[in-house]
Amino acid sequence: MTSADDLRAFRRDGRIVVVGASLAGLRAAEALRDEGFTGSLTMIGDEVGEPYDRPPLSKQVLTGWVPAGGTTLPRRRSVDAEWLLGVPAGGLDLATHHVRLADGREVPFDRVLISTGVRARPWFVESEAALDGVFVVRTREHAESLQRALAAGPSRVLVIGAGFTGSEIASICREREIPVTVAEIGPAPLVGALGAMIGEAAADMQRAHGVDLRCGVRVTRLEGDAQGRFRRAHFDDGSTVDADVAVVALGSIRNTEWLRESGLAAGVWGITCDTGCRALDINGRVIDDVFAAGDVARCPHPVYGCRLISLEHWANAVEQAEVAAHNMVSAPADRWSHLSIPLFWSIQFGVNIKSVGVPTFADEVVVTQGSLDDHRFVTAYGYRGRVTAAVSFNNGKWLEHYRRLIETAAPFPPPCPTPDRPADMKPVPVDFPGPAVLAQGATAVVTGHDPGEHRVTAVRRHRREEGRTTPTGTPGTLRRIFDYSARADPYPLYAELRRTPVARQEDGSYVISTYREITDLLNDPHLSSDVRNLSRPMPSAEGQATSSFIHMDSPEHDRLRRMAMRHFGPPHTPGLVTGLEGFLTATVGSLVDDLAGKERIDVVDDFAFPLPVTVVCHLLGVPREDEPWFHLWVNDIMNSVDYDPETDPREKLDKGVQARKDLRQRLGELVEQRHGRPGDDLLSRLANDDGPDGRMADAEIVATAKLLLIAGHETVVNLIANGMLTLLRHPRVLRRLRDEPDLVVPLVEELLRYEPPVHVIPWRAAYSDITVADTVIPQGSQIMLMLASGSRDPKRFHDPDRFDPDRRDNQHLGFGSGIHLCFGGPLARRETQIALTELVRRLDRPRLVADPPPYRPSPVLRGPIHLDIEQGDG
Amino acid sequence: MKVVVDLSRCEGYAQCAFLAPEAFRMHGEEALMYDPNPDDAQRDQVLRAVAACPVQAILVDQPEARHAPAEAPPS
Repeated sequence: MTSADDLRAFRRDGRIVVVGASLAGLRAAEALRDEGFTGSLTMIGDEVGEPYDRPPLSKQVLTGWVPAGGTTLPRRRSVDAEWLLGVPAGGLDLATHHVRLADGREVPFDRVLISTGVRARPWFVESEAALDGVFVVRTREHAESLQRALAAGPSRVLVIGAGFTGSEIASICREREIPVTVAEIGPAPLVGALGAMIGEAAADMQRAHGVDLRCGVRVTRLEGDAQGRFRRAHFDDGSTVDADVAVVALGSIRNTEWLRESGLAAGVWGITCDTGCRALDINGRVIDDVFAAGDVARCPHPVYGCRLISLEHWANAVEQAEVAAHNMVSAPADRWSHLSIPLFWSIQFGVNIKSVGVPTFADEVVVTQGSLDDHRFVTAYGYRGRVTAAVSFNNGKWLEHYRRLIETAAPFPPPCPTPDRPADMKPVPVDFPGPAVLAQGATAVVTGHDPGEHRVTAVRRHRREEGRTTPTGTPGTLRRIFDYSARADPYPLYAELRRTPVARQEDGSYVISTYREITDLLNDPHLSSDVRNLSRPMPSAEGQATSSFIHMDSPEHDRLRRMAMRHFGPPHTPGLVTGLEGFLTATVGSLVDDLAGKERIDVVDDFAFPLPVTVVCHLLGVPREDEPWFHLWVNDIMNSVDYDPETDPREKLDKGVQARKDLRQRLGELVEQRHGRPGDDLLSRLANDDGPDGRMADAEIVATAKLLLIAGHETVVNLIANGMLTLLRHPRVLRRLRDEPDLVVPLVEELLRYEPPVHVIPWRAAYSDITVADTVIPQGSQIMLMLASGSRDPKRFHDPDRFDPDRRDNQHLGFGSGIHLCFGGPLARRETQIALTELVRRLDRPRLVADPPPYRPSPVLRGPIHLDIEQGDG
Repeated sequence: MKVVVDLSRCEGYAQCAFLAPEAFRMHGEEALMYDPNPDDAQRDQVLRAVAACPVQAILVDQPEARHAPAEAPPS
């Protein structure tokens, strides 16, 4: 038999055993079945019950929102396994290929995956750990008992250890208004994982939330009363704290003891593996039939000098499980390497902390964006002059950019400034405490030999990479796209454009047309939306009027968007869109009522056009008698957007200018009237709000309202019209939608990809030099982003020119990406979902009158100007 | 239904918290907290949230994935 025959036989009837039935084990089992493994699969786990998710245990569960038993992991697919749960593994015999269970049973295997994870490090004095009121948090039983203790209203909680878990628990205590003392042996919270600079910010944050934070102290004794209840903790500085609850959060211990006699290279840092998750024996030789994944695996990483890294990260467990599963059932030449850059998150004190890379692999750190004092920032970490990690506080949208910097060994400190850089951007030593302290808080541990500096470009397995085209420009293609004759079907021209992902035009501007480059740019902090950063300024239709946040950069954009969001969506007004459900259904219903019996209908004029302005007027609180004016002004403004000086009468432009003025003036009057008169509508709320960011100026309120009216109008009209047109071109999908109304949800997402309302972001500016697809776009350049082309990129979407409402992984660019992602997206979705469902349900055998229909002139906001359909017997 | 969000992918766009506010809640400006086991009455809303996630970070149970008797852990 050849080895190919062996592999086929193994894939058909082999025996795979997975030891460790938590996240990594479950995902590996699913991936094995996805890979086509049909042999026997045995899952061994020490805990009773189905695999569950652990991160919620120190968050949602401890707040009392979610019961500890409610975090069972969803199943991606059936795994058809035999589950041996409630008994830990006791040994591994490589000579006979058996796993020995603690109860003496022997389980034979051909290949085994070890994903036994970690357990909580217990308090070091057993009798004190056994006191009533002393907890650790790792399992759901732990979380459930701690939750009960917190719910009982303890006089004070003592958290020992201010790593991520300890800090999260302290945060929840404060949220529940329970007094809490945090004792940390290091100089600050999180310092072992993130260094001194962020440690200080974390300490500020804890103290600002009323935590009694004591750093540089060691807890020496937990004292109980006569009933065996914890009462008091003693510190090495002689002080004490009285508390009813002590949470020991001193990190974790890897579950490798059961492998001691196995001959595997397994120890306190985990099981040493190659990058393909294959385990090594104590002599450093790869063992072909033993794999490891998740918290227990310790793998080399080329980006980090091939040093061995053990990660207690959720995403790492998932990714390693997939790599290990693939490699277990693949021929050597087809095996993958696990090269992802590590990602981590923590939620505490209302702040989202995220990290990318390995912050402990660094010698310097610098704040690159935002401000430490506001607890909104990004810091970059560097090692010998290259970027190795980044950490964000409430700035997670930028981290993808830093991931690319790490993968490409970009220089440190990052040389190009961003609009939101701090005034003093000076790298400082990263300052990690010694290894004894490190063991407590770090969730990424780098150990082993440093073979010297490497420059490595990690290849992302999930993205199909092909040869990059150098920017040569595609003369004429863009002009042909903008020519009206291309309006009905610009897609073949987009395909032509994509041959040059970053195309320099004759006028010095750049056109970006491929998915990856567009998303990279939209998430690049050097991309500016502020017209003043263009080296060749553009005239603004608004003249000197205040611009809205769509034309601003961080941090000003963020501040205004945050202030507007307080009254539009989560976290402060989470129920607004779902609360509009009744209004939307009634408005759509009455528009459709008017269509009943008509043989010929214009979907644009008779249906789509009135809907969004009506909805936004309702939201803003525009008086009913004003509404017809608002429809008129928006109409005139939209018409003037298409103004072509060569063919259009000057009046078209003048009407638009006048309408903008009138609309601004009327909105201004309305805002003025709302001062001092609190109400539920958006204008009243904005006019009377005094949130943490202060109050919006009247001109800013007017600019925001105008943005909602105009941006929310054309997009929704186009989306509905493009949607109806697409459905009429795909009658089988239309019939399906009538029978399965739930289909509308993925269908609208597919529309946003396939026939989006916004085709082009006509300009952005390079705030400083931007590198994309190995091309440097110089500072001040104008950049045009062809969103609709990106959403049809065959390198990202399978069969992209097919309209497929069942499409999975539909991460389209319909609403953009990054900090400027469409503000009203959720509302636009619901309007369109309800509109299309109702149209399809109630129109009688609708048919297109003309295909293609006539289009509006604009190549940017692309959609039919009229969409005539016939219905009934006519 | 069972839900898990890959919070390392999540960038805090909050689209889920708009569309299914009972199952998905923002904790501050950017951090997401969610109910991993929302009531079946919320199914429609949750599926809307799953579809709308700009980074496709929300995973829900595949209805057919859990039925096989062999899957049941021993009592």
